Amino acid sequence: MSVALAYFRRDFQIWSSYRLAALWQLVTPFMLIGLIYFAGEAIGDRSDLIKEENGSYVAFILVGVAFADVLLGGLNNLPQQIHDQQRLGMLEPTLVAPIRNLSLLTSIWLFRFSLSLVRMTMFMAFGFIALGFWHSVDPSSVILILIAAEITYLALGAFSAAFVILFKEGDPVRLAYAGFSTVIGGAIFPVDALPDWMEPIALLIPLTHALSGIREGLDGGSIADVAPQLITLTIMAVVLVPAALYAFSWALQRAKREGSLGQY
Amino acid sequence: MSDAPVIETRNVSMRFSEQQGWRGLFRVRPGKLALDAVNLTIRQGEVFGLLGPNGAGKTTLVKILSTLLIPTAGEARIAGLNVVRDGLRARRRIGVLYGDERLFFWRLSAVDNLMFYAALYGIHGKEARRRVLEVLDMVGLSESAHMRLHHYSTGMKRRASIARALLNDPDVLIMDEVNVALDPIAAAELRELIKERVTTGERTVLITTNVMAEAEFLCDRVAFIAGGRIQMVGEIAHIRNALQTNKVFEMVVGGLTNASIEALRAAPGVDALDVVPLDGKRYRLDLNLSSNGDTVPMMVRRVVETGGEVWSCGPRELTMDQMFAIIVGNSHKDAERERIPA
Repeated sequence: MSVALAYFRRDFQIWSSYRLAALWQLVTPFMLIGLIYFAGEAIGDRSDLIKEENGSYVAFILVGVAFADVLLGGLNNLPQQIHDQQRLGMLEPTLVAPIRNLSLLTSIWLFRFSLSLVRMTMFMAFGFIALGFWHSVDPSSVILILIAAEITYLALGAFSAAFVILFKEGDPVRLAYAGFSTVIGGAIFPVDALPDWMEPIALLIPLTHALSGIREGLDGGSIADVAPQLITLTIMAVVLVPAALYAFSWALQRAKREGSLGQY
Repeated sequence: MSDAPVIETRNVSMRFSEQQGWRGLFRVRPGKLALDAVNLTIRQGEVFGLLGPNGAGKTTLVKILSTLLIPTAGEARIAGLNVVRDGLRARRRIGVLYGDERLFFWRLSAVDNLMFYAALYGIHGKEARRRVLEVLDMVGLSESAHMRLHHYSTGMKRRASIARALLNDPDVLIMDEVNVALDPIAAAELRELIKERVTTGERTVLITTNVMAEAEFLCDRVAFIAGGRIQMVGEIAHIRNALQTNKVFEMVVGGLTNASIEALRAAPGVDALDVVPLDGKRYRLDLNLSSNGDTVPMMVRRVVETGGEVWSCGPRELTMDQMFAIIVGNSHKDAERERIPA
């Protein structure tokens, strides 16, 4: 935990040293909220496709954008951080220190995850306070789904980081999975709006189950109500986490044999 | 210094694969042999220099010892720990600094950078702060401890790197090309600092360099490496004696004619004689003798008998640069011979 906190402190110090960029990152969600609100108002009531909040597209897309940001961050941040460290020449000096792979991965993920949680809170607070959404929320079911989904995406991020260590650029896990997740995972539009043949593909994506469970929890669904999504995500996490850790470890060993660890 | 080996390599070889990335996954094409069956034993408390030209394999060996590379063959141990199998535990025992690599986040101060690295070594809270300030003081950076690294000069960054390598009070300190890109004054100051503050006590230190003066100043023993092979290992004086098959003497003389110089050149036991004019009246004679038994007194007598004056006379040792040139030159010749088909 102390290693993770050290990474968090370091990443925060670097992030906050670019003051204007940090301020911009905190302001941007407000602009996106405005965009979502007016786009949602223009589209209006879609209760034919959307079950929650009386078919409000604003509520639907606020949840989709806020939680997809947090979850896909788990996938994107790890390979991005590894890539950045390779380019800065900082990866080898870090790996000379006695830290375990799991500790390294969770540590480099923590700060960016926290930033995305702040953004998510801003989105959700706007919907909750300004628009009166989700007043019957069951926080426990939302949090449990979020944890299971984040672990799943973190595992996918570790796979992606393994690709970056071995191949440096052109990582297919991140490019394909992040893209697919955004398009067909139910963040921007309901999965029901997809053609029939695409819906089974959407079920392979953790974001589909995560957003479905989170929306149900926000609508007052209990843990029992979101159990199917929770079980699916837990199974994905149980399968993916050990496989991803093995892949990351294998990639590191391979790069050490090739002598390509610090290359980019 | 104790006899217990702290750094050991047994037949360590490293061949980088030519194909990396996607192609390397499916087809391994052997590439350059960077290390060829390297055997070294470095004892506890020893300051050991690994000397060699660029591309000799020094950094490759250092990266193997610091667990950043896995050797193609052989075994390396740090404090008895196999660096491949027990990499995590081995890393706890070592401090590493690379002269040519970036170790710090330049937007953070030295204290913030070192606090981060301290946490990676399991040092936290007040203990971390105390240790960070202690090592910064050790390397003379107390006054600029809270300055961002991008305001540091190259010499200051190098001192900060040493502080970083000392954070965990390592049993083994590995310094790779620590004086790269430093001006002569900064390099000399850093050498003094390493001598006085770093290479003390029971700590084993491995220094790689191609700056011979640095090795002579700091090291108890050295190994010369070229073409991935260890060429010679030992104390500098022993290596010098081994290389100095002919005895070189330096004699400053005056009042000699060309004829008398030629007579000296033809004297028995003189393999070569070079004449270096000094101030118009005096010359320096560089004598390469096959033995120094009676030759030196005989030479002095001859100079005096031919009307000359001897101002000074003494043996001249091979410099480290000359030793380096001889060893590396021989390794190049060996490599050339191996390339010629029988």
